[in-house]
Amino acid sequence: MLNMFISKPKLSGMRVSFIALGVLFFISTKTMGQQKEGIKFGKVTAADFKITSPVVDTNANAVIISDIGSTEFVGNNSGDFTLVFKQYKRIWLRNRNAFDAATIHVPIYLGITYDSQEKFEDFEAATYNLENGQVTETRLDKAAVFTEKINKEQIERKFTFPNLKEGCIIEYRYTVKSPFYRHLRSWYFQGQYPCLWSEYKVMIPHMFNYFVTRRGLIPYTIDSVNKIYKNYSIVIPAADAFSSSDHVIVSGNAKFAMWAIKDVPAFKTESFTSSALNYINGIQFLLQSIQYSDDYTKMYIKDWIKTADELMNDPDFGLQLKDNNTWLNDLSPAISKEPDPLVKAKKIFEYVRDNFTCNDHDAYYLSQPLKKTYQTKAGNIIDINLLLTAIFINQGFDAHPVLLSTRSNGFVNESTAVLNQYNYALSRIKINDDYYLLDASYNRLGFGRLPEDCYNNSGRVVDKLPVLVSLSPDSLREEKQTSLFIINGEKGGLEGSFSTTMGHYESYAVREKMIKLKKDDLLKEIRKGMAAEAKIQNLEIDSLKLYDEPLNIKYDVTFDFNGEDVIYFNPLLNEAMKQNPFTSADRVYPVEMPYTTHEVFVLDMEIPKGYVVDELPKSVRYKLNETEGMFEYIFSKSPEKVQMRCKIDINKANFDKEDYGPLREFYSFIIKKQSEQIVFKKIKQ
Amino acid sequence: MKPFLIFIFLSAAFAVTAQNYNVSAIPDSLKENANAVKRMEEFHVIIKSLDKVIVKHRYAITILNEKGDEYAEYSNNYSSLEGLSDISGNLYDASGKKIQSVKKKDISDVSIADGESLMLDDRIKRHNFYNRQYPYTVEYEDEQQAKGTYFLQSWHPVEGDEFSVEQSRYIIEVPAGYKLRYKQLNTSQQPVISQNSYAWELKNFKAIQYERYRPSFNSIAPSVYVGADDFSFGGYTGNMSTWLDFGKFNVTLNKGRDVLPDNIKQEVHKLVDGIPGKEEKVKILYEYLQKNTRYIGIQLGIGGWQPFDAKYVATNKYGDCKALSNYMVSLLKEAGIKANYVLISAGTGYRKLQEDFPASYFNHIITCVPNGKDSIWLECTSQTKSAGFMGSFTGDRKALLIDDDGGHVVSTPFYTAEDNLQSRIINAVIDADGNLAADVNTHCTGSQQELQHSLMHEATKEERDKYLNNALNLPTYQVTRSDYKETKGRIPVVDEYLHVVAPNYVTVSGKRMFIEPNLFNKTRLKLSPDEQRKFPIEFSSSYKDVDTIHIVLPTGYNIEALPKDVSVNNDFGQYSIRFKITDNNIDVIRTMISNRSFFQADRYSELVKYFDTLYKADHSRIVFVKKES
Repeated sequence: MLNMFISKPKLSGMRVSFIALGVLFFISTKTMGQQKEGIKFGKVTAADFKITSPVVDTNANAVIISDIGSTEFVGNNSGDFTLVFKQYKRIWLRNRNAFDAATIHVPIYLGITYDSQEKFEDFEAATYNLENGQVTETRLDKAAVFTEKINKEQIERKFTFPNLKEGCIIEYRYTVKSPFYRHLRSWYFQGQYPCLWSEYKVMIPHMFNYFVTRRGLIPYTIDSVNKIYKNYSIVIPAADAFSSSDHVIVSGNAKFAMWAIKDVPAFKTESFTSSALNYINGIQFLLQSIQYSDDYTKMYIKDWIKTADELMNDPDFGLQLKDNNTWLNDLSPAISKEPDPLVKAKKIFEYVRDNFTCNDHDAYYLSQPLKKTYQTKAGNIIDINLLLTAIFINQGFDAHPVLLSTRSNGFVNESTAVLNQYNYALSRIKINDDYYLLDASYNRLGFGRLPEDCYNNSGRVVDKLPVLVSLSPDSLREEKQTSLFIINGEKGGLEGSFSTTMGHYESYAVREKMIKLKKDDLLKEIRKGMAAEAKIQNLEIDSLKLYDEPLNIKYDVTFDFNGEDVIYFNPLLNEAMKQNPFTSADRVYPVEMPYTTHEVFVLDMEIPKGYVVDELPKSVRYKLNETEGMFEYIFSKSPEKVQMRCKIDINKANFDKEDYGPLREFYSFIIKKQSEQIVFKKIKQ
Repeated sequence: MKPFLIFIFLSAAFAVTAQNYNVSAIPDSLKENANAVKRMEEFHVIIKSLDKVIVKHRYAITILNEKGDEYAEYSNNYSSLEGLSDISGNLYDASGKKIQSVKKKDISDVSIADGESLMLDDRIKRHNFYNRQYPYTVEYEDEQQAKGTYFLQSWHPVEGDEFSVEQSRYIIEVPAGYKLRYKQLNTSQQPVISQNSYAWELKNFKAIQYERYRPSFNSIAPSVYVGADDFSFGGYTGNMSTWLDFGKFNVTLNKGRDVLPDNIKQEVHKLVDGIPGKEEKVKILYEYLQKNTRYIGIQLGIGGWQPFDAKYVATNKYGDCKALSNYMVSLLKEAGIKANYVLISAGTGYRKLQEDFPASYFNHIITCVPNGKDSIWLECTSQTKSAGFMGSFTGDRKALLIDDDGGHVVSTPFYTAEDNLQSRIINAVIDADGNLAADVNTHCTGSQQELQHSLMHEATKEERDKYLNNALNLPTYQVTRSDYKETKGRIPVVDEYLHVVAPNYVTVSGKRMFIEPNLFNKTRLKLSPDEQRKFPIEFSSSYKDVDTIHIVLPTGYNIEALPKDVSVNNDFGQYSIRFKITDNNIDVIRTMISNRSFFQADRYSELVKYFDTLYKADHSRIVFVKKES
């Protein structure tokens, strides 16, 4: 699962040398404990090609036989520790659909200098085929390992296995030596293919403390932490040509942790899952503290008050918000001279939203000084929303950044002040006594509206008192109101007017769609969905550019039934739900919808002249789990009129997997009911 | 003298940069239907020698609205064979005032992730001002240095739909005595030829709007292709004035790369010795290739054009289209069968081979086994395709076959409507509660089996289930069983069986029951009648669909409305749909034949009517009323 490696360490300046701090360690001579290895590299026998396991069914194209990783700290010759990460993996490729699994990418992180970059070593790889009962081995030539530059901070070593045949076994191992303490590699136990044994061992010297995040629903087979007394030998190089190098032994009770899972099923993605990362079994490490001596411990994870304070003083985050930022003084007087604070805040928000481009919605530090963002008109999500905050502050507002992790980035541990859990920032502004959360990074988002992806339970205000703000999807309601009024026209036939006011997310989607479409194109699209006897004209789109308002679409519709004896009339015109959003019959993980829903459709129609109602759909009220959802479809009729009201409520966004069946049935019922027609019959003369 | 010279240069430079980018200077006719306007372009190709070509490119594009933003980004490739330098650029506001310039560190440098290759040495440099105040103008300039004359950059001044051109000039300078070949498309303007240069110019070209079923953009937009005569490339030299000569370069590149290791030679003989018939031998060796190799692209330097040798493929069991085709040719050679390496332009939207103008149009390699009129074509990067079947990726087009004497233009197979058949039999039952259960047997051939073929071979069971459970146009349903059977052949066949269950498909609680009996094969296209058609109409391939549907209904209903049978037979296609009701049984037979064809633009209103007829007939609804008891 190495390709799923997602930690994003901030590499520049994260390395703290022991020499620089001039810290002394006490000396010990005891030897370090030995670790055991399971399967041996290069030892593949004919029996290894016969694999049975409860998690291997006929659909698995590949099986991970063994995936074993470890990280150990080793004293080095530059007065420091090196993190030694090893991975060994053996995969059975059952058929050629799994051959993609034989191309491996290993990310390698670079520091500022060659000296501080990670090193890829001890690489070995081989393919094994079973031919006539004999195992043949083909070694991968080390020259066939390519290096690709990904960006300034990362390269990738990549290779593919030779001589693959269906049913072959491949295995590889390598070591990455890293100077970056903050980059203790994560481990994922679950992936695209079933895995018979996944194991990760970590040996951490006593002075290092890591905060460990565990995710996933599968229980661990081995889950242990032991203390082992260890000596680390570190050579402190000579400070200058006149002194000699020094050799120290650092000793203490190292923490030895081991996690393993036997028989891990393949991970299957499902719709309405905010992030697979919330459910895949994995272990992540976040550097919490280093104890350099009995009386000096450097804290990397602190409480939120200290962390927020540091963030506010970090040149790559909040420090520039404290400056006067006089370069902002050239802001248009139309904005700066606005007397009403709310109007002014809106103008500032719109200025940033309409003039700046966000080119990366996944970041947790500034990519450049705010002034540069101001000049180049582009930056990542932190650049944009911190610039917005800076302008607010410059204009005398009380504004602060808010950190959050988007839904697609996974849940966070709210109480732990670990910054690289976060990947997004908003701006929070106080006007009079009200707070507004703002995101200026999307072109068509209204004031106070946030993308769905931000509703991942909570955000953290970066302020002296770093409070949590709630961003629960349950608090988000997508409301839609539609009406259709129909009367008898003067020239026979029916004439109607249709009007729909959409929820904010649907409004946003239509606005995005209308970038590429003309009004005429939308009219054509609406016409395509209509029954042959319905003619649409006079399309109006209101609030297309007023992003704070919901979008409204109106049109006139006429029906000409050509004197048919029987008229079949769809009461929802083209607004009926056509496809069940839940296609799969089964569900493994909870259902996470982005918001709650409230939709109303009202029909008020005159009965066509010369006709009577022959059949009306039966009125119903259908409840989902008593209070969690409701569908109402109510008809009434008088001698002149037919009226209908259709209401769909989904009152919560998250459902347990046990509720999946009822939820799917609920939608299925709506679709079936909404397909029913009103039938009018001609009055026989 | 020196200061004077500098003065001249400075003033010349000044004259160049003082271009007027005021948006009000754009003629209204160029703004009509346009999202972006190319204000000026100077595309200057200088052939210094056979192995050195300098390309100086400068252009300015005004972006009128958000839809034009895609043209605001600068992007150009470089590799070990072609350098890229001197990138500069400016951003201007609507009045033509310069508001920003490119800074070197804002140019990003990324690898080309083509999604296929393991390693490429091509990289891309990119820049974007990310301006959001419309209209605005971007101006960029760069220089490329190519180490060879194999590819000469041709001129495509119109970059897309809804894109107009105020002025664009293409100049190519050649060494004295150098013979330049060129071919113009969709422009009648002849070049201005001076002693050592050729120049074309396009002025005031109005924006083109997209039209459904029109010919590809490349075949309607003006362009000029240029081609070398003698050329040099990656240490090799050649001549490409004729296809025969063009192909000689590939003969040179591939020379000596067909030597198989002894163990492979033995395997070849073990497989085919004693097998009668050439076609059978080809099939066996092709299947051997498919079983024993896979596609891995590694293209570095000349390796983008020269295949890895047969021994490399034999050892690693992988290669790209070049290496695998070369390997296939080698295997066949060992079996005494002559086969050829064939250069082709695969997929759609890529440049078509112009038979009268030899140049490098290609992006793929296949293998051809000449066999009288019945050549056998092999796609060597696929592990699952049938021997001899090209399909929509490489079928029906011109390609360049490499023989010992050089290149020869050949045609790959064309597939008729009968070849591309989809014949479907549906037996469905709707029970008393309105639930639908259907057995769907589909017999697919030729290009109409390509989807099913990939569902069989390329999708996991999970992906296949996911696809099937979203593919059918039913509100809530489940594909509870699926089964595929493939019959390989020149025209491959896949028989698909699906069992589909759709709960509550119809409502039976009311008095009436509404059914659209054409369950799965409905025309979704409705063309707009009020369009002013400009370009001809092109149906690029042929196919035939036959649907035979039998639906059993719950008893106790009488028919209230039965749709009319429809039959259309014209230039556009043959279509018919018939409905029959007997007691509680519905029978529908639908046939549709569409042939590759070409029509003038004035036929458009007929085409609209044709699709309207099909749309209506395909969505025909039958209404049943409960019998009064």
